[in-house]
Amino acid sequence: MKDNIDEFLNAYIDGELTQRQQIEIQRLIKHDEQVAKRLNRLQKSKMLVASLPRLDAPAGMVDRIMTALETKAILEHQPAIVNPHAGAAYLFARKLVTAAAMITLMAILAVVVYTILAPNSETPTIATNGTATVALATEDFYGRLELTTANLAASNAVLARAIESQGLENSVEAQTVNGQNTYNLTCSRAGAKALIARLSGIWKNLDAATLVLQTDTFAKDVAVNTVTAEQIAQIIDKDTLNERIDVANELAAANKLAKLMPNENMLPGMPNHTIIPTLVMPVLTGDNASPTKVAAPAKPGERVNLTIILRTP
Amino acid sequence: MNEAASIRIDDAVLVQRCRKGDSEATERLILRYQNRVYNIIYRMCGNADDAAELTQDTFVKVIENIDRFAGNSTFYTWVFRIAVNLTLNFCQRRSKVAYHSIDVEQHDQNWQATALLKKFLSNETSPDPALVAQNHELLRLLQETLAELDEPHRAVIVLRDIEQMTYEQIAKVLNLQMGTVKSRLNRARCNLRDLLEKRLK
Repeated sequence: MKDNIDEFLNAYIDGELTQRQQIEIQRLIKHDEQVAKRLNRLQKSKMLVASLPRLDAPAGMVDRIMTALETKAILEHQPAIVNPHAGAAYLFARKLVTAAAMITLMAILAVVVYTILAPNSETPTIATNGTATVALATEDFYGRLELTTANLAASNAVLARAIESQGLENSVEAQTVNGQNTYNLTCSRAGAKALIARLSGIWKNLDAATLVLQTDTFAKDVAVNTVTAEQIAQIIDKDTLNERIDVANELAAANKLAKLMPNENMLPGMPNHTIIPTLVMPVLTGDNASPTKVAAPAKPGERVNLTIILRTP
Repeated sequence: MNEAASIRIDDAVLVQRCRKGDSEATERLILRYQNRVYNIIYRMCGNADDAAELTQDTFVKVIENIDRFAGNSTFYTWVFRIAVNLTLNFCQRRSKVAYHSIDVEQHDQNWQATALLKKFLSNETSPDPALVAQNHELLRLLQETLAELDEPHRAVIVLRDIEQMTYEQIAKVLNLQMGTVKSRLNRARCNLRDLLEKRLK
């Protein structure tokens, strides 16, 4: 209550009361001596503080302020001497360059190691066709089949019939030199296999049969002695030169081994040698029936270049 | 009323020119308020050097932020709000250490000032306030006692009794409700009176 009255008394001496409130306070002061005393105390406190002289700002305050403003403006517009981000950016760039150099070095190293350690083989190249299927590229076959027989005329006749029956007349160049007949055959793989199959009948009359597989290097040609028609087909059936060389070596070894065995008629073959190609045999259905002709034009990579030499012992 | 209105319009023009970088207008605004600002800062912090520094900081801040002055209050109120806030922050940092101690020996030597104060505060006599204003020792005593008040109480007394602000202006400068201004002013005057009487004992 006292504080409440004092607030009104303060407002009274500060001239913050409405006219009606002023009249009420004046009436209260007149009738209450204590209130009058409190008013007097408050007025004296106010007067005392108000008696403090007004002080002026020091001379040159405007200049001080304007100078401070100019200094601040200059400092704010001055570019920073040290860019705090420059160091971080430089370090980041250095790390980036180092990482790139490391990756490049490792890539070079990997290529060198691969070059040293990778098998130096003529790995079939991967060829993709339009449907994105992947197939091993095939290579043409180059070989020579040397057949030795005492009955050269009969064998020639059989061979000529076989060529004719397979429709390979246009694929064969025949010549007779020094008593030996040479047939240079260039046809498809299927045609060659069919021809060899037709020739299997004369095999029992042969004194010797050797297939020489021609390689890129003459000295490394692979010869398979005592070769059979099935073995020839087996070798031709391989897609690449390396595969043919492998099979030819295996068969040559097997044939050599078979020759040393007591029963010379045992079938040649190597362990795990399970790939026996199916020979395309002509099917005779009657007198007028002709065997299936497989002299289709050879595609690149599937061409068989076989020189058949018939000679006497 | 007409004078006050003309001052406000004048302030608005100067503020507008100041915003456009008119240094003459800036100087005129500073000249117009520097003494009043310095005076209330000095009465609040009690040190001439600190007051000069705070006055400079006040006007630097005013000019830098003049674009933010929305005109919701008068420029005068806005300037004083910045000045009072800076001074209160400064006083809180300084934490009353330097200013609140009273040199007892010096106090004893100024018995005349004390006697005059006792006479002034007594109910029986009422000396001329002009005599008080002429007694420098009494004024120093009064300034010291003022400094003993809490900062919020000191601010409200300085704004009312020295700067002669209305309650409404005080409320705007200190960002207070009107009722809070009234009660705080009452409490501040009571505390000041108690502190003065304590000195007389």
